[in-house]
Amino acid sequence: MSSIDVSVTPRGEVPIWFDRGMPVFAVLSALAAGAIVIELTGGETAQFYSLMFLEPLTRFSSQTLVLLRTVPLVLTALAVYIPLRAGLYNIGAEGQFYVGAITATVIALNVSVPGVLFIPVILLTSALGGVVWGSIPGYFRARFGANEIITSLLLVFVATGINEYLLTGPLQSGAGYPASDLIPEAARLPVIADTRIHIGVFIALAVVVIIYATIRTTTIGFQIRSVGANPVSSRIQGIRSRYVYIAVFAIAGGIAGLAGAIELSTSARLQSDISPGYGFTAIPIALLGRRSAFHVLVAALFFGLLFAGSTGVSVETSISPSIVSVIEALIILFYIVGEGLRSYQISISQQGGRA
Amino acid sequence: MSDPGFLTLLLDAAVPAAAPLLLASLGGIVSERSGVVNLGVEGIMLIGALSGFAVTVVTGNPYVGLVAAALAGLGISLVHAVLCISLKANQIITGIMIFLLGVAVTNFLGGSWTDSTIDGLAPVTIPVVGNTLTQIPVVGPAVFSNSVIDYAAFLLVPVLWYVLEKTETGMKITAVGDNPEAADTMGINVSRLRYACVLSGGALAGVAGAQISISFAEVWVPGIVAGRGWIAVALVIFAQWSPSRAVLGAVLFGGLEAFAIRSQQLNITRAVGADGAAADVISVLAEPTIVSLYPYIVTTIVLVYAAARTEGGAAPKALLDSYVRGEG
Repeated sequence: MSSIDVSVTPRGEVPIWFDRGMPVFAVLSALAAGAIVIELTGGETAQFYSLMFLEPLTRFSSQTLVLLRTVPLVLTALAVYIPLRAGLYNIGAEGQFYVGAITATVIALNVSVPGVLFIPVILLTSALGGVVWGSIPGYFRARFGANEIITSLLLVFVATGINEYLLTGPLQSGAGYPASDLIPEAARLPVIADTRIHIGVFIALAVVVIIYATIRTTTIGFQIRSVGANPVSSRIQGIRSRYVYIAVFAIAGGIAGLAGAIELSTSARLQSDISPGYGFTAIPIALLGRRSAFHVLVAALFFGLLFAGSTGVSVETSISPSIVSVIEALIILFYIVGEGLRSYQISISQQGGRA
Repeated sequence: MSDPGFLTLLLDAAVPAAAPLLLASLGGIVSERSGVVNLGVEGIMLIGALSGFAVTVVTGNPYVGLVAAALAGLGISLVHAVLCISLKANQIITGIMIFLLGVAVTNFLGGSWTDSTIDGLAPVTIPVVGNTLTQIPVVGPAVFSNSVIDYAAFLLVPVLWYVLEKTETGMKITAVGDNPEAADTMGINVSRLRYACVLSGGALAGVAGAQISISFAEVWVPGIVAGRGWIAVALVIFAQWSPSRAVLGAVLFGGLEAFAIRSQQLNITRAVGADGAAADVISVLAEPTIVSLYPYIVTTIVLVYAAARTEGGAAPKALLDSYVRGEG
């Protein structure tokens, strides 16, 4: 019987350019595959990609939008990145984000805190809400060995469901559609001069630096990295992976919750679609940037551009902006292919009838 | 019960609500018994739901729709199989990708199908004795008046149990899932068998999605699967990789979903006779939007319970491991 034989053998040395260039390879391949989808659905690739990637960089208003979209993306991506460094998968950042946004809205609309303390109180309580919500899958994993991927994702449905209930019930504004009242000016993050850019941009940047330093230099950072690299040998070194598992999910939830509170300043009110899927886009961002928090930031800026660009695309072409999420999934697909090519040598040969 | 018909209505809704969970978790069991986890079930179900619905709209024949959904599920799970089995990719990341891809593709392509209507799979009764059987009080209509695909889902359970536990193929699947090196030495083609299991699992997930869009709900809206794929992934663990226990889980969760649908007809606050603050709490907990969240919460609790009780006990020992000959 003659057949095509595909043999896969582990690769020894990997050239450094291949290792470092892999995320770029993934993105470019996904954009090429995206072009095929665009052409098939009757779009024009050149026009589409220039609207997506060049147009937003030419005007100040859209540059602002890129920055404002990057903030929730980089924060939710860090919420995926930190557990990932410990070998865990948090695919529930979307839910943790919603819990933060809900908490911020409730405080902003119902509690009066004097002057300068109002915003810190909102940010802290929202982060705390995220910590509580995020810790649930971490605790269940650490204590009972329950699969954190499934539980973190199921809790997204619960969080968005509670949001839906609140926006059609207790928090609904008089207008009759699912949104809360506008939050008071005093509860919104201050903006820079006459722009829409609020200090959430700097908060996000600070979080990136803190996480970078924490993972690199602190004891908990070392423990996270060792548990992620090898849970068995880290146990021999005396690291209790249970605490690390709870810690990474608590930190992740806190950061995603903070992202929800910051986003409330961008949108000014809680809506059922306050997140257009930031917590899921966070997954490819964290994978592309898994080397460090700064890599996460770079990947988040790229996706911020993608998100901002998709707004223009939906206005000027007939292609649905949901193509962005198709491209995201394709990026992960080619990332996986790249990982495979990095670790294994693949050779295809024809096997004839000979013995 | 305040309404004498409530239990009948509940059971009647529970069977079609359980069927997609059952189909998808049986698919998961087949795949995982061979050592490959497929976390993309939710995405595959969405692709199955959309392709089954669209083909039913175009052809006017829901059975053609079902076949299309099975093929679509098979096609997308081929991606999972190639990456995880041939390219030895990380099964978790690949599964998450399939999930996101399914959501994205069906959102992108599915927008234009939301206004279409179909004549879906109608409930049928068993020939000759069917009408008599549906007269059985309470359980009659629930058990003996369902669509073909619902019957098929439940009939698949003993079939799959037999194949997995009593046939040579079943033994080979278990061998490949527990110890691929030994299976390879015995002359079993590890990759080929894993491909077969992942693809069958994918086809079942595709059909599970189509059951929702062309039988249970008879509509397409983006996100219609609403987490059932993830519940099915959890059910595989709850069922300890056994088809017979998957029935129990599927009926439990189908019942819960049916309760969420039917509870709108009950006044729960009045039924339990609470007042004051307790009544407020209960009335919130009985809000339809909140009740519809119970399946997710109960799934989480059940998953934790299953994990705590078994510590992974019955899981295939080579689950998540890719197999490279001569390595490890």
